[in-house]
Amino acid sequence: MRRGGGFAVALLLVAGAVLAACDLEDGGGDGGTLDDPGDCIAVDVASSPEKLDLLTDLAQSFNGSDDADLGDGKCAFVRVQRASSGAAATLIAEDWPDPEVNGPQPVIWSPSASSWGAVVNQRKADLGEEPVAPAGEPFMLTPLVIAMPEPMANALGYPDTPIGYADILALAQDPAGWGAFGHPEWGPFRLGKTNPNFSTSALHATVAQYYAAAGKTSDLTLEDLNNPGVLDFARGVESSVVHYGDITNTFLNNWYRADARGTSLTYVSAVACEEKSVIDYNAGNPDGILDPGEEPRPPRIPLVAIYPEEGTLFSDNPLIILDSDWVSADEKEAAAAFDEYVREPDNQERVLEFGFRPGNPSVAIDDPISAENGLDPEQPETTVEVPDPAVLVGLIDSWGETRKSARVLLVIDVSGSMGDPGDEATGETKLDLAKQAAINALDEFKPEDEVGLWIFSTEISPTEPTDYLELVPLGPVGSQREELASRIRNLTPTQGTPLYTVSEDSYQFMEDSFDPTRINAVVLLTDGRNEDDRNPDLDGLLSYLEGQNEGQSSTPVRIFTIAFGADADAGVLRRIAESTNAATYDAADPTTIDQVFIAVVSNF
Amino acid sequence: MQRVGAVLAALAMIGISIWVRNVFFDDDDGGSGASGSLQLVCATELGAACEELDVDVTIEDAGVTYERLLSVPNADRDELGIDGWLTLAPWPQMVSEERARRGLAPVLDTPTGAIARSPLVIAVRTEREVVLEGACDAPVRWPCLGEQSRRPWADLAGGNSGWGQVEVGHADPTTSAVGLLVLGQATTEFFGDEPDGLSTQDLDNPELGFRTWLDALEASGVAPSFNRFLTTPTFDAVGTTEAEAGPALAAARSDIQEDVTLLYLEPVVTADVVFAATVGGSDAGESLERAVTGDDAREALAAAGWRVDGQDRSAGVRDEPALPGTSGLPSPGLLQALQERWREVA
Repeated sequence: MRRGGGFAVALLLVAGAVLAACDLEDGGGDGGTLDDPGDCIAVDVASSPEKLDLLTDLAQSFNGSDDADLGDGKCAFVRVQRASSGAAATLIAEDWPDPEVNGPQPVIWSPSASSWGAVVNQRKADLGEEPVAPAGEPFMLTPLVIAMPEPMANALGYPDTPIGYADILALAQDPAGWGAFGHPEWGPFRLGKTNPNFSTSALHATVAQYYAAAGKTSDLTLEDLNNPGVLDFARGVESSVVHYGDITNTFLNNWYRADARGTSLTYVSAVACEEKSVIDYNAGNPDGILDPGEEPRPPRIPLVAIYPEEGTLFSDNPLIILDSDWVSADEKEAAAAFDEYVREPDNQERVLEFGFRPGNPSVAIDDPISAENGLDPEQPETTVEVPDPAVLVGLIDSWGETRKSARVLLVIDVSGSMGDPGDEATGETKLDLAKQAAINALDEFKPEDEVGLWIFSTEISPTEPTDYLELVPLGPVGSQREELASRIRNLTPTQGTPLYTVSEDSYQFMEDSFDPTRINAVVLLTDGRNEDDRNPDLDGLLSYLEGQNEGQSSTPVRIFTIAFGADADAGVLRRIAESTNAATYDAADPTTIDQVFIAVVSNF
Repeated sequence: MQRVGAVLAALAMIGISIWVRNVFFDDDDGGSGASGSLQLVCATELGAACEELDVDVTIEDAGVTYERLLSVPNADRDELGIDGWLTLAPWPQMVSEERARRGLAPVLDTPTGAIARSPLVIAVRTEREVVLEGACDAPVRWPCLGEQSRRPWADLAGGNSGWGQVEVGHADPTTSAVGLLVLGQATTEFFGDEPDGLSTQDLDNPELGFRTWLDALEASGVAPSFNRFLTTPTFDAVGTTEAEAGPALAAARSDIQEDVTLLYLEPVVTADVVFAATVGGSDAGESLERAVTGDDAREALAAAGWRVDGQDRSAGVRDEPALPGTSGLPSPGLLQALQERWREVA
């Protein structure tokens, strides 16, 4: 990890998760309105979002049923609230403060994976407190897989030949790339993998990767993490990563858009994600969320799930009946009744509708877990053990060292509107908030990452080009962190917003000096819309960016955009980001910029 | 004797009116107003007709009501202060779908079928229509208007430099009930007249060019009110309903009538007036539904330019083209997505 220190990592693991949590999750807590339990015992459930609808349905059929009758005139009444895994983990570790804001204190917690329970218990242990999250039984399961376009998987011998991380390593390190398999037109092997500080699937993929490197399926140790062979293996796999990020949806959505343009095979070759995501993608709903007006349409090239032969992990969605102080014996009894209810075969069959595998082993795995959807219900044949919390933290530390380095150009809007109020409570301007967030984010880079700083506004430079100014050239963060911070600290708002010019020129600058061993990216923060009459050509910009980003031999630079404040041109910023297969981030509320900046830097 | 008869007749009428009031609009119906009266919210486009009804009416843009209904927490659903919403389809469905998406309980019952209808039309300055047809090499429809938007008239064969640039538009689709429908119609035409199956993937696929076309179409900004369009030549073509344009044009002076042509597009797309009662209002919703579907309401809607079965057409409202069985609009979800895309280019 960049800052080092296991506890700091654990904190960041949880804090990061607050922002994005798990790949299949979107959004954080959602208080909503609570139904009246009447005379029954209320059982509040904090559920990760991907199963919220299912658990809500089950709660409705449970409430008032014989199964909810606890005898002696007592009955259970279940109420389900949305809470992303990371956010809930933080709240539980802090004894769930402020129920008015965060929703009721849960009796049952259902995160996406049991490892979140281990994280909470580790945090409690660090505070000298008793664990509160006992191991729960899986409610529904989905394994971590390597999703790959079918033609690429076929080229590797799928489905007859087992494929694993060793094959990925070999392919990533082969200078011929896909040419070694008769497909030079696909270019080099490119891996989409999220950041394990933020994402359950990335955490699981990194764990599986280290087990593969160590040649084990259990008992991964801190010594293994320091083994040079293991580290070389990890570096080799990470070298093929296109960029990281907080959610796999970024890759899946970009992949799907590339598929529509016929370029999916040169965007990324594989993405580490959960099996359920393959079902969603192949159904034409890559992020598993149907937005208003979105109709599922199968992609031209479907994905298949590769279950790494060295082993993988499951997201097991446990129902954890908490041992927290706020949970009474009666509530535990009522929660146990619901836990039993959801495991009944009829109810377990319903998890299949959502693309998950039943947690009850007596329930058959059926559609959509099928070969037609690119899956193999017989797999995975090998699973690996979740490491001890201390090893887990050490592994994330190690990932921080072995991950692909980055070259990132920070491009910050200093137009006049950035001087507008950003936080009424403190009187800070938007620029004040952005400066502090950018300075804080510098700590998230590792010393070898190269970071530079441009600012832009019309007439900002006395010489051509006048629309932007290089304040700090690209260089290792380790040696120029202070200079970067000092330059950022001294920024002041000036004039208009030449958005299109600076987007194109910063892209071109990074492409001209492209380093294939690093993630090459621009982080563009603006609070406005293009105000440059000399360059109003958005279509020209988008067409240029798309053209540069596609093709087997492209040297893709990603522009991650931050729409800062309510007046930012969020739509245009989204299109700029998508045209480079990157992602846009929303900081419409300027006071969230600190968290947003950290999420953006999770891509590197 | 005559005086006594008049008094008795007056008393009888009072009695009848009290009975009618009790039967149809009694406080016991659970109306939400301070005095228990029925509370109807009407979309702005239906304001003239709603004012003729014997209920408490709030007239506001559909987008305002939409936001209001979305922001109601589950716990406050019984205290909306609204018994029903008279608006254009599919605005109530949009509320219901969006609340479901946000995990909120419904606030509206299933809307009625169409109470009144009106085809969507394009009003275009007559002498410029011919020039546009030449430029597009096709009849004037929304794809053509998007392609020609903001081009100098002088660049078009037969165009007059004095006309400036081609300015086209419609009402704000995020607030105006009709504005959203027009944008839906324009989008459907862009993709080839078939609204079923249209998806956000189509809107966002650069190869299909929708965003570029929408950018151009919306370049002139929100269209002025129809009366202003008639009286000031800032816009060359605007989309609206026959209900708004037909009667206004029929009532305009002759030179304006000659200056503006209404284009009825094929396939016909319609604005359908529907009523949705709010949930939990006991009998109030039903009473209100009877009021807005009753003869008085139907007459008022017809007088306001809407086509209502069994009612005479208002001046400027035609019998042709016949209206299709369905509105011809994209799904409520796609219309919502269009609002978002419109915000991005507006």
